Amino acid sequence: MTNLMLVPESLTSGFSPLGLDILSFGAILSGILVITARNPVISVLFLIALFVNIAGYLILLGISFIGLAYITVYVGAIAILFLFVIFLLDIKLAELHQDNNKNSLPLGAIIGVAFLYPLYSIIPSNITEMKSFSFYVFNWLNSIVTGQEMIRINETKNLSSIENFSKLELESAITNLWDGNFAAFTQISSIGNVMYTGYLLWFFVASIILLLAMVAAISLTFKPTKASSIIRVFANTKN
Amino acid sequence: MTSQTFFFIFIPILAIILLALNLILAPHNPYQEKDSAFECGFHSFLGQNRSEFSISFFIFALLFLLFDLEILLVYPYIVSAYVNGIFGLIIMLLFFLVLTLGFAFELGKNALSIESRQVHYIK
Repeated sequence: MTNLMLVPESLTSGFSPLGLDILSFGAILSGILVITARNPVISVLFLIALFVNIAGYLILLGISFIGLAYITVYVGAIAILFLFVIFLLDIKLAELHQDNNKNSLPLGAIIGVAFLYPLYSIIPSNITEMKSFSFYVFNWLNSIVTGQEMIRINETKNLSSIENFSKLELESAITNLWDGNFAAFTQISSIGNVMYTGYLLWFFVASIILLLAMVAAISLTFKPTKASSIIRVFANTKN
Repeated sequence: MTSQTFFFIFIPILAIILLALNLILAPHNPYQEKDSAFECGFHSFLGQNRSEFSISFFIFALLFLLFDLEILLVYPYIVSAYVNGIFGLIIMLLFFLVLTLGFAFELGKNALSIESRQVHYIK
């Protein structure tokens, strides 16, 4: 028999979904601490932590190229740029140490709920999240706003199909024969297959954008050095 | 005509039309305040940083970012070189050539030199 194995399929390409929960919790925590940290350097460090959390999340989802690109470009270049700007500015920390943002917590809560509740009632959500805490909260909000609950959790007679659906487990078949790996493309190699053949005009547009950024930045900040200006003065006085 | 072809033809035409309209129809009365950069009403930057620093530090970081992105766009070729063959190699070399032109420009302008602020006293 061929060595076929059934692997429970999830969004995490074979890894446990607990990792996704931990990483998203870490990302939310880092995001909140970016805004509420008093020292701006600590704020940028939590921004780096946020980027690393999201990069780990993307890698667990299976799009590893974008995850590694986050670490290379965001943490390696952009956050370093932020750090250098923070170091070079003279930020008056005495003004920042005042604790005058306690009044705006109720307003923040109201705006948060007023933004997220219509959003989550419109976007399609995973129906297998029936038993999650956020679904209960959302159901309760709906019962207050519209006067009717979306789905009554307690009535199990009419909802056997939905309950069975929430227990649905997807499985995918993989094999450990080596010649099956020719058909299994990683994300980065499938990007390479497409970008250099079918979509190469976009690739050249990207190269021209990078060239434009290089030439524009250098020519905007170019100062003739003293050596070249001395040579120019010498050339003028010779004639 | 695919949407990609339409995009590539229409966008340069639109950009050239808008630039030409500005060039032809706009009045041109510059003075010093209008020509200077807009910094939300602040006039000088001198009080906002600890000491004056030269802008070549920013150029270092920006050029690092640009060449980092170039390397990132070359990564997919490395893992798919067999599939793409010589055609993909030529495409990648053309991409490299465009960015090498930018590199040559930067080398020629000597953009990565930081002016020394050492004062030489002659004894």
